[in-house]
Amino acid sequence: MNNTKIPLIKIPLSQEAHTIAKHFAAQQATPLKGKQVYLNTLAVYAVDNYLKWLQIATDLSQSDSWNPICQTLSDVADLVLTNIGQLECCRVLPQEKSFWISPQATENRVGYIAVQFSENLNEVNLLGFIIDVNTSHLPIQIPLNRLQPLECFLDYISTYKTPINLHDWLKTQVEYSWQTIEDLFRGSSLALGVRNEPQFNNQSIFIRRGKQIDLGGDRVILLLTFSPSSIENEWDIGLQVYPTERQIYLPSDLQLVVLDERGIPFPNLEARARDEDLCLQLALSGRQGELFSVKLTLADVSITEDFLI
Amino acid sequence: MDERLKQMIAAVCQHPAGSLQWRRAIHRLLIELQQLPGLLKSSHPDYLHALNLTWEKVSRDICKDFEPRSHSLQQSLVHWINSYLYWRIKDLHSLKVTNSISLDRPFGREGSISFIEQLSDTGLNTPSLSGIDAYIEQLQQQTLQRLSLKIEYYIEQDPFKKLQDCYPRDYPNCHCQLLSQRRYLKEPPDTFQNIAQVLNMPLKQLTNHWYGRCKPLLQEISKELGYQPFENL
Repeated sequence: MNNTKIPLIKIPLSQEAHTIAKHFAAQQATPLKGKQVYLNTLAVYAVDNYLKWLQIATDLSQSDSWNPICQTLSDVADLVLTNIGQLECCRVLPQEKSFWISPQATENRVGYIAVQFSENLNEVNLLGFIIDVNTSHLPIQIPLNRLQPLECFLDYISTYKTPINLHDWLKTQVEYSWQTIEDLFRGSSLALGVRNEPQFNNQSIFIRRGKQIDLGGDRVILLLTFSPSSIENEWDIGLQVYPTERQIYLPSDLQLVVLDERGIPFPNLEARARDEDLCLQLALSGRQGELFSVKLTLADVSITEDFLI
Repeated sequence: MDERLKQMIAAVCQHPAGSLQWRRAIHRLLIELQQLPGLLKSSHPDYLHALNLTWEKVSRDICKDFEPRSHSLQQSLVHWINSYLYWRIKDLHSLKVTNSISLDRPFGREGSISFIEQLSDTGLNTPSLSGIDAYIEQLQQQTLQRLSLKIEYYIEQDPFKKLQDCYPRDYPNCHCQLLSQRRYLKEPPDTFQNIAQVLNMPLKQLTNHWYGRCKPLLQEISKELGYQPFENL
């Protein structure tokens, strides 16, 4: 075991963090419980900030740790990662070489991040990550040397492929990687062309977002437009693929396909770029609750995005 | 050092923002930047909040807005970070200041922001780990009711039978009072596996009922009892 200290990422604990922690702690029955809630709140707040820096979407309002009843009746410090699950933010005090996981926190967790407090509670260090815990002896104590580096956490959550819920987009809960036209095409003349397209279905309510997709070196932009159909309970979806601002044309032979929930391509929902094509387009509609996937293929590289209507 | 920083920034900018590779690279870059000598430090009450916002901005804009201004990449980075940090402290502070204190002094060399230090009269009003027990005790004495005792009592008594009357159609024994008692009033709590076995019902149906009906019901009850969720987020 070498003695060099690996630098860790530090997250400041602002006045706002303490104000929230104070608010929650004040409502607890005993000082001991209050302290637990205070520190849990700071831990969750800090991890939430870190995930913001990394553009990983979270939902504090759905987290048990932000819910007064759950705070009171259990020892939890979870943070909901949108479309992924609950991440437990485990508190570690400065001199400790291990930390505890409460029984309530052993169920329904995608993993555990260790959050080490500074003595003056001005900042925390994120020490590392662990996925699984052995629940045969509760409560569980984890020694710090069992932790994996945070990069493992980033790798791990990227394997979670839950479908993107398009209805969440209507409530403006959009994942970071899906951006508005303005952000995607900043400064490019292409943006004008895209924005001036006729409005989808004559509806004034629609949402359009795009994402950069990396196909083994070639990058394209996938746009998805989502709006209510003129048929009741149905929704219209428009798909467009554009080159990024560095190219004029799409890479030739780029293929765009829509798959059903079993992964089988829909007949007639396929488009292929020829030489000097500016854009690929497909349109489809479906009912709420239906799943579909959009697959882009170039040579031997394929990227699939899954959606839930 | 400059070469290392240059490579780390390039590693970030060659991937689309939000992708796995981008996140890994940004994580490493942020750690590196946090260690740079010459970063602005302050005991101003808004400093930590501003610092948080600054790291967020760095990750968002390092590939778009940053251009090295001097021959030293490291110095350019520190200056870029410090400028943003300084202005954020100023913004956050001016949101609170009601009388007109002039903050117009030229941005000094790295580290010499002493006038900002002078403005922080009370410093941070937050506890340290060694003082936290006393702090919490005092805090709780200011809260008139012991809300958590109320919720425990409510679960046990279920005065209006709200909890007992909430169960999945085929399993009247699987009501919210029983579940609340076993999950919240037992130490350690019963596992869902265990409860499903005792009630002789499918696990999925049990957890669906717990998360879909009982937890929201408890939340409603807690509001009636006087719990306040944190609204101003």
